[in-house]
Amino acid sequence: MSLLSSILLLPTASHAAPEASACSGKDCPTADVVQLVEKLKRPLPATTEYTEVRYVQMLGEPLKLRGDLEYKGASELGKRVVWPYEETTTIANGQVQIQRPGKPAKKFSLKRAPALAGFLESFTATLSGDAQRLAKSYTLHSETSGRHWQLQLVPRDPALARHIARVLISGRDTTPLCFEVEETGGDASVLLVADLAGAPLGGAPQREELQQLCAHAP
Amino acid sequence: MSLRARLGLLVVWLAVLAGLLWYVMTALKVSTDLRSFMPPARTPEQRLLLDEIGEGPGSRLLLLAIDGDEADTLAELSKQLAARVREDRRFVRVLNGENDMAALAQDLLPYRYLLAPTLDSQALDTGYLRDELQQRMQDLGSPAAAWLKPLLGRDPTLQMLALAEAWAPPNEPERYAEVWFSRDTSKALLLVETVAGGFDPAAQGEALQALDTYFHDVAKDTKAQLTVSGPGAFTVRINATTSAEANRIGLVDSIGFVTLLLIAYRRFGTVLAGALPLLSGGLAGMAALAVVFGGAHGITLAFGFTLIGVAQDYPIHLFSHLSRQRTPVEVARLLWPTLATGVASTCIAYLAFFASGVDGLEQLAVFTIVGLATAALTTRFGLVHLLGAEPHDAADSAWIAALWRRLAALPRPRWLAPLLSAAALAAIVFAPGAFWENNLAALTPAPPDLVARDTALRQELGAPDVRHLLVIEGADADAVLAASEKLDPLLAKLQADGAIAGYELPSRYLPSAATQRARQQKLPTADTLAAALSAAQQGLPFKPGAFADFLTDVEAARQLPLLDAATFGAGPLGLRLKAQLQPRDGHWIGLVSLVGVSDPAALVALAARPDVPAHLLDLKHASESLVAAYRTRVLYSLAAAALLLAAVVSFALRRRSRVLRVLLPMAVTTLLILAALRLGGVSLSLFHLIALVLAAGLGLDYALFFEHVEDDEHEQRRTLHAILVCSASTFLVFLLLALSSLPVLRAIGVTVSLGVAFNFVLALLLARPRREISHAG
Repeated sequence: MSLLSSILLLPTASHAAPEASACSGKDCPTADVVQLVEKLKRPLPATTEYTEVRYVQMLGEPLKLRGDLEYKGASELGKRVVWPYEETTTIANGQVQIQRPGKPAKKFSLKRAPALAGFLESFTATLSGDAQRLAKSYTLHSETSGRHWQLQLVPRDPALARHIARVLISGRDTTPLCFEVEETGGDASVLLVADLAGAPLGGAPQREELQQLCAHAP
Repeated sequence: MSLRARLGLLVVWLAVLAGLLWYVMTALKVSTDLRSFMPPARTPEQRLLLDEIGEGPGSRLLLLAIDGDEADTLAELSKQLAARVREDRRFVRVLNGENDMAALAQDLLPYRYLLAPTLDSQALDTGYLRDELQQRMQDLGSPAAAWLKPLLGRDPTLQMLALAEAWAPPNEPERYAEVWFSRDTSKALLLVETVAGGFDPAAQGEALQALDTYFHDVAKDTKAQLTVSGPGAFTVRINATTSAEANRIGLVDSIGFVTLLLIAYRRFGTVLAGALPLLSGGLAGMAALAVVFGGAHGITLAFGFTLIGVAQDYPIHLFSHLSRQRTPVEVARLLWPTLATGVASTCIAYLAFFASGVDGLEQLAVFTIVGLATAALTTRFGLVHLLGAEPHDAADSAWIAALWRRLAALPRPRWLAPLLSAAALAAIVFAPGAFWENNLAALTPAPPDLVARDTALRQELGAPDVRHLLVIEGADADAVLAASEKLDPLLAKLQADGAIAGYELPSRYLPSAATQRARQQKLPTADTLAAALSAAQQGLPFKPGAFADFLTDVEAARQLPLLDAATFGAGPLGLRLKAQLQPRDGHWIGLVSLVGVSDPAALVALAARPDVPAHLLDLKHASESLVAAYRTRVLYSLAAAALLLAAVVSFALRRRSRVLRVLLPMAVTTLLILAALRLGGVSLSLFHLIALVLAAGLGLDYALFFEHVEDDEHEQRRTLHAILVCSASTFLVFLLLALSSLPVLRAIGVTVSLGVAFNFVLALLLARPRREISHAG
């Protein structure tokens, strides 16, 4: 079974038998990571609005998108763009479907969209709260400064590592605020959720600005 | 002859046989393609079937399903298997749903603007470009960005994707992880097209073997299993079951046969030596085929060995007539006129087949004539010298003596032959049911579970119909492609009406020169395009110069020579086009595959329209008409053979009454077999006809021996013994075939068993001269 689908199936598995995900040696997350991830656990389904800023090298300025995310369970995630255009992405059972108004749906495997997969994994992991299982697929590192914290995930799977350099999750107390996915080619996206979803952003927000916002949001 | 001399002869004989066997194995090429056994085509439909398309592209498709493991594993296996098959030149194509971005060779990439239909309805102007660029921006914001990003700089309007979609099979299955799956995601599905025709068992066997090997290589660490269906798989499977059953029956037959001969002759050596003439005949026949034709069809050999089975009777006649009063050589000399009459007339009769003008039948004639003559001559001049001086004398047997007396007393009513013939004729004419079976496949039916699985897979995969096909003919490739384009809207209408579920035209891969030229002329000049692109980019965040490769490609496409079949054929998709567009004897043909034909009448109506540049090929109809034509040839040959036989027998026996006594039993037997088969509801096939010929040959021998009786009672008993052993052994052999579950073996078995029984009884009642009655009484 692939890494991605095992991660996707993780929440149910870990709720049913948390002791099954024992780890060994260097794969084990440190105590502070375990503590951090456990407190992020959320009941399903979870819904949040978001603002996404994508940095693509072909483009002279970043793309800004707003919409909402719906985490429905096990391996189902809905991502809806409402502005500046409408688009609905549904992920279920490792399959992605993109629907735009008046256009035939595009379907493809999650494996072909590593950035989405990386985001989905980090998102899933935080909502299910199982650090040990997460540590099997990623090298984890956490930093805490006051109420703010940051969790860094670097993929162990070479196939995923070819596309995704790292995922940074930052938040305050028990709430994640930002998911930053950094691709190996230099492109990146920052997803602001919860309290930051509606944060006013300039015309072309720089990545550093957003990182500052994520690390120090009041 | 001394024991030493006998041993020496045996060694020499076996050495000659070994030499023949070596020659046959090195020189005789056995072909299994059904087409080479068929007569030359007469109608255009038959010509297409035989010379040009084999059995149609549909018959070359194998449907593959991989199941038994998790979907992700199956998807991975599908990709790996497809990659292996793609490298094998025995396969035209393998489709598993993967979007083949490399479908166009790198240097042909600019041709996408001439190949994709986009420009037919759209110009590369500011409005269109702006709309496309806006969509690309959204793509970059969507998860699809991952694989679109590398394409966009060169292809912002995604022409390659448009082409890939246009080249996808008409009705695609569901996808999971990029590859085709059944609706319930339990099976990964693939379509594989072989180079070999579907009904060529040897080549299909090789292809299946290759698939199996590849699959085991990639799947050795999984629980997954591969299932292959389709005409080729059926052919291989049916061939295997048929030969397995034939071998099983053959083994039991051999044991029974040897046991019977041991009981009859009580000498082990005699029985073994008795196999030599038939063996020699078979090998000599095959060697003759190698010399005359260089090769033979598998069916020729199967039919041929059936026909020369009659030669097993020659040693039996010799053995049964052995006695202590005469040496084997003297016995053979006495028997020879009768035996030689039978062999010579049969051989001369087979000359009729040689004149049939059909390769398969000519081969059959050569094989049978050489085989029978060799068996007879080796019996007469070889086998006799191997036999010991202390034979078992059949005339000593008490029960033979008793049986002989009882049989001798049997009445021989003159009215019997006319009455039986009249009754048989009436049954033949009035029995219900089709007289002929034209569908050769009906004789070798595929197991129902395989057919059901094939139907299910075919539906899931949207694989082409194996029966119907549209054929376009043209002076050159471009004429065919132009006609193909003309067909497109007509077939689209049929599809919309529900008559067909889909279709695949050659012009889908390669548009005609006219269409390419029209598209080329619509491409803007470099300056115009640059201006339109720059206007389209206004207000969009794309970096300046992001689409430089796009501008280069379009300018290249404007200057390109049009793409022709030869250039396209050399590319990665070349074989796919070649399967649908082929040169033949100075002209070109295009094949249009049809998917899910639910209304054949609509297709017939379409093809009949004068403005439609294609005709419909119904492969089932074509092959059945071919079989019917073939049968006509066989029947003519048989009629000629019967006349020749009668002439030779008349020449040998001189007196009309004797000729009548010899020919009557086999003639009436033939009628009786036909009547019995018709009453049993059996439609006659080629296999029945061949078996009828064998039965007639047996009958001729029985009648000749019964007719030619010596005055000596002991000699008469020996003749009775010989014919009893001959008929009992033949009956035993073919009775087992008659009990087979396979229609083709049953056809031969039933016909010959009936023939042996009728021939024996009728020879007894009709062939013996009347004067004998007074002796017997």
